[in-house]
Amino acid sequence: MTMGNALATASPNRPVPSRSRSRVWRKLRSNPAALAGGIIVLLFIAMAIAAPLIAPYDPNVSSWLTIRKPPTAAHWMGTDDVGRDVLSRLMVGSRASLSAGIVSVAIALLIGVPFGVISGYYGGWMDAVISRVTEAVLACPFLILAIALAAFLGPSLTNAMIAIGISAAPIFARLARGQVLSVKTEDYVQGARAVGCSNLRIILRYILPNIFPPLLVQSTLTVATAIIAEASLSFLGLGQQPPDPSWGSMLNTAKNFITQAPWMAIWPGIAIFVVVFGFNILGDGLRDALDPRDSR
Amino acid sequence: MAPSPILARASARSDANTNPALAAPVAEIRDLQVGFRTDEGGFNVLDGVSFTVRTGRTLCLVGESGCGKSVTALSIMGLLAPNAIVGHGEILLDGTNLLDLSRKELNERRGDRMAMIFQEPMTSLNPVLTIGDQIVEGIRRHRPVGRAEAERHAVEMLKRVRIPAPEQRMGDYPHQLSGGMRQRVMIAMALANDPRLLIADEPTTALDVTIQAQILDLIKTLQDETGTAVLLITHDLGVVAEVGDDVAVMYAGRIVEQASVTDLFADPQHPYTLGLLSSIPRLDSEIGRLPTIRGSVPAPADMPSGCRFSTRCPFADDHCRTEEPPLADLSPGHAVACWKAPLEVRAA
Repeated sequence: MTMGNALATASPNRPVPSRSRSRVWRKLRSNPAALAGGIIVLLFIAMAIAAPLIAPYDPNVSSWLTIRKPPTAAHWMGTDDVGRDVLSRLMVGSRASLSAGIVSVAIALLIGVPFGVISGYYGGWMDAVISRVTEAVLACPFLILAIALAAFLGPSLTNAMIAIGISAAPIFARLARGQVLSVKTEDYVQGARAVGCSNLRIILRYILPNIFPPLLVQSTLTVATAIIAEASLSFLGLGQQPPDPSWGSMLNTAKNFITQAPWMAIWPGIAIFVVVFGFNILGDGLRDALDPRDSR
Repeated sequence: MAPSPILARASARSDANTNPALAAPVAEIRDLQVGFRTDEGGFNVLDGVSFTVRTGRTLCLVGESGCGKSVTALSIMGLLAPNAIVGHGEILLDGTNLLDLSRKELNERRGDRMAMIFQEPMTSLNPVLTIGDQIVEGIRRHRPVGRAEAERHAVEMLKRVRIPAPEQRMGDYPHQLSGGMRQRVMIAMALANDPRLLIADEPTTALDVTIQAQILDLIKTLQDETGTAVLLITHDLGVVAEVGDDVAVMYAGRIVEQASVTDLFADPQHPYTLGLLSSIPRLDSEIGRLPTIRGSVPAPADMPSGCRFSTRCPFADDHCRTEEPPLADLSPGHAVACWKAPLEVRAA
């Protein structure tokens, strides 16, 4: 059938949302800082995925022969207080840190965005209730709230993620609400009503895709915050539990030996710094690349 | 391949528009009153508006900004802002009062039996969906057809609105098209389900002049093909002369004069209509500065008593300022709301 062929030829070059993917990619590529951030993030993710394969030693096996040894050819980053290889623990520990960052942001998005969208789209008393609750939660310092929730839920990595996710949710609720308020007055939303779309359909097809870019940028930035939060919770013993490594719990142990074995603290500290830095400059770059006000 | 059922429906009814006398009423607006509630209190924007749009005919709703043209259109579509209140009146679409319908029933009709084209083609399409997706969505919302069938119909619609290479355009995003092309897409979307009533709210205001003529021409041609009733909202009497069959002139929330286009241009009766017509620049005479209508439209919260035009009308007397003139037939098909009608002198 001729029409079928015509459609088949039309579909392959069908690009992805509005500001087509190639344009965003072009702008991102021309921003060296954002590109560097993206590469850093990708390298850390690759390391986290491949950790069990590339780690030179078992991260949890201690050895009385290598207690608190400074970096050597055998142990590039030295060993810790019970003789475990710091490099291996750093590699395997990246799994806890990165997944805490990503999973808790996913939780924050899943809680925050629906509330924000409902509040912005429907307005009225629902908006009033959701906005007041959001503001109340935002009034609590983020980390204090996460610590309180984690302590309440009990110490484990999963609970730490949930605690961080809940604490970060109001940020997304407020952002989503503001974006919906501006998008819902667009002519195309009125147009969607005029063709008989239901509210649910308008939200899913017309509102959500159009508020996605700022949410994506906020997500990248919040991943960085969440990684620090996970490190803080683990440092306090509320996150990853021994003997499994995470950067925060490594720092927690290292603080007791900060003068005798500074390498125990330096490496996880650097790792946190670099990955958070990577997410932050990637987020900044994405914000610039996705901004439609810039040259189209 | 069997012809698409949607197109078959269109051709079956397209014979009604050849004879205006046979034209059946599609939409009847009766004594419509719409108000808005604000922090400063409520006020009416439409007061007793009545008109009929018929199969295959174009009714132009004319008036200056703020006279209630768009509110009329939005009332019919059920798209009024939440603080709007419909005081009284009926909006009949094929005999059903739209004001009595539930939200769901209204949604069934929007985009199917009635459709709307907006003023701003640059912002009326969803930037994150391809135009193909958007047309297909409208079709599948109202027709039990599969995606392939709907896509075939969408390509057909793009062809009918004269978009070149429609198969390729299906995968384009709105920002890849010009304003004129986007307005064509809007028309394709609006007509995809072969609506009985098409409302076009200033469809050419945002376009440049050469494109305006093309778009008006397109609406006219498609109307001839499908027999759709068109309610065209405009402030441009040039547009009225070009595509209108009937005209209703609105002033401050009321219809002040209603006639066929020929009658209105040949024999305008309301002083406001006269003012509008004489303020159009003409090529065939040198008249220097164009006449204007002094003053501006009174605010809805601050309506004068009597005739609403009395504050700006050169002919107004005490009767006009105390009692509101009804919209009365002057001759068959020509109604005017003015105590002074029929006017004895024509405007220069």
